[in-house]
Amino acid sequence: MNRLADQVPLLAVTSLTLEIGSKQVVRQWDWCARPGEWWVLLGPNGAGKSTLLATLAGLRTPTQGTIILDGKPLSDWPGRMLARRRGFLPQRPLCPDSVSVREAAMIGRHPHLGRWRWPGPEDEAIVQGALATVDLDHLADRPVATLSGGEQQRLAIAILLVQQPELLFLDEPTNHLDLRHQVALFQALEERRRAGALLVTALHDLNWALRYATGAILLDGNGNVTAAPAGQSLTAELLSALYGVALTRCTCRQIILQPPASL
Amino acid sequence: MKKAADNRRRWLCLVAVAAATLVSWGAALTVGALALPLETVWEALWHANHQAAPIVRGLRLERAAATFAAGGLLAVAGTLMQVLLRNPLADPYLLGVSGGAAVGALSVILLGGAAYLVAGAAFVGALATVALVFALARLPMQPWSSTRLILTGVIIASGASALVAFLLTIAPEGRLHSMLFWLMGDASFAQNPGWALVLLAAAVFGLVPWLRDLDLLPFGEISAQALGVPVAALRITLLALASLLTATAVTLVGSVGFVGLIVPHALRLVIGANHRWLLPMAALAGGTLLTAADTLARTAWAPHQLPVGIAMALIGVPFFLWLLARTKGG
Repeated sequence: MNRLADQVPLLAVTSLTLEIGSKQVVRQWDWCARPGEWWVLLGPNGAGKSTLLATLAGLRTPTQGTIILDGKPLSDWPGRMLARRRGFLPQRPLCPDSVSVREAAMIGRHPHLGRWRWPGPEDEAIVQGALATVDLDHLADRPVATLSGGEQQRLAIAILLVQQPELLFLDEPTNHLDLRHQVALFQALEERRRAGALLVTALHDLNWALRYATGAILLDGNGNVTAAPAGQSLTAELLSALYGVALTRCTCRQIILQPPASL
Repeated sequence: MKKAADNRRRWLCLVAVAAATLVSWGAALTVGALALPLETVWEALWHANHQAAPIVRGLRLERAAATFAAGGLLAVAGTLMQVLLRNPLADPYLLGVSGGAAVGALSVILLGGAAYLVAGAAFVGALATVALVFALARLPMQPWSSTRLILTGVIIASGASALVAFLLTIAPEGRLHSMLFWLMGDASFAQNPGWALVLLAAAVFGLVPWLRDLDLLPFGEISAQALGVPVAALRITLLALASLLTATAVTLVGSVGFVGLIVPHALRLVIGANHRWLLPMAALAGGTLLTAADTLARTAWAPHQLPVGIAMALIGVPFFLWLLARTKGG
């Protein structure tokens, strides 16, 4: 990454207010994020994490305020151009039953392919690589209907990787994943971050947040937002208050989990 | 690699359907009260003053074109409805098109209007009903919901069928026969099928750049949107287009059932859900099926003519059950 790109915000939010019905999720919120950062979105159930994530991704119109991606308001981005730069993993991804894993992963190339074009060898190679990353390459020709819950989640992640966005929104990406694949997922995402991607992830597992996040956005569900670098936001006091559970931060002497350098 | 096998199956299916198209047109032009050999038909097709020309060009060619266009339009509309409403049971008539067309057409038949008036009234009735369904489904400024649209369509359709029943009840004996034929689908009054064929071709070619967008819809609205599909605009535009195609088909041959529901399903079982293959193939297969069914309807019980809808079910039901039985899972 060159130094200049580190300075310029990729995503900037000004006086954002977000309401679901009569409930305020976010009130008059200003925030910005730069390439190479990884923000986690934390909060109790129903605090509005998914709503905020979808809004930041441009998939939902805010009640008030503007969100600016690369100098241009999100609402001014044509859908296809936006889709080349911004990816979104929904909390409950759907998959049609009748397509194969490979065909499903290929939809990630949609915004990159011309309207009259068919996927070519380079697209196939990207799909193959993404399927290998999420450990689905051996199931590439299976119908999606035969996949388990965790495998379907990995397929949804593969679609996001195939899309190759520089701005990634992930809503609880660890859903249904076993520990081994959670480790692999975070390693793959960390690799994207090091390459200059900006990640925003709604999470419930604080351990993953502590390990990888460079910043955290805390939603209390009443419109109050605390967004700060990880050192100032992922503290025992703030998190205890956020969840209403007494938390203590400790560093284990015993090794519980030590991910290998590569799987 | 599995992908190569998929493509081979798609090409094989395309060749088979194209061959069936030729056979069905050949049969439609040669078979009938006066059986004509293929050479005579060929001669008559190219020479307007050939002695067989009135039968071949005037009657049979027009009828084959009308049934082909209508079948193709219904199959394309059915394909669109099933993917747009994410409902495998969706068919072209779901939003009340056929009910509205039937009210229009039957009213004119009851009043003794000419055939072109029947067709015009069917077309207007169909489009008016769809407009009503869309307007009501959005009231009072609800966000768009396919469940709401389907429910509104179903309710308006039942209202229309009550009106149809009323028209049948008060109809004099002499008109009842043609009213019933119209309801079951009847190609004998079809006229000017040329513009329906043009519409079918224009719809299929015009849709090609958008067909990959349709492949993304089953992945959920939010994922499709995140990948750059203009979901809301696409859905409303294509539902309107599907309604227009259906209205055109119904105007030509009445409300023939089955073809719009079954053809997309059958093709999806054989070639998969890739719409760049599915939609053009549906046009071809739907048209072929209805042309074949109409030829059967004209000849199976000669000199009586059956409504094409009955022949359609005679061919379609066993074929689809067979296909379903030999496909694993489904």
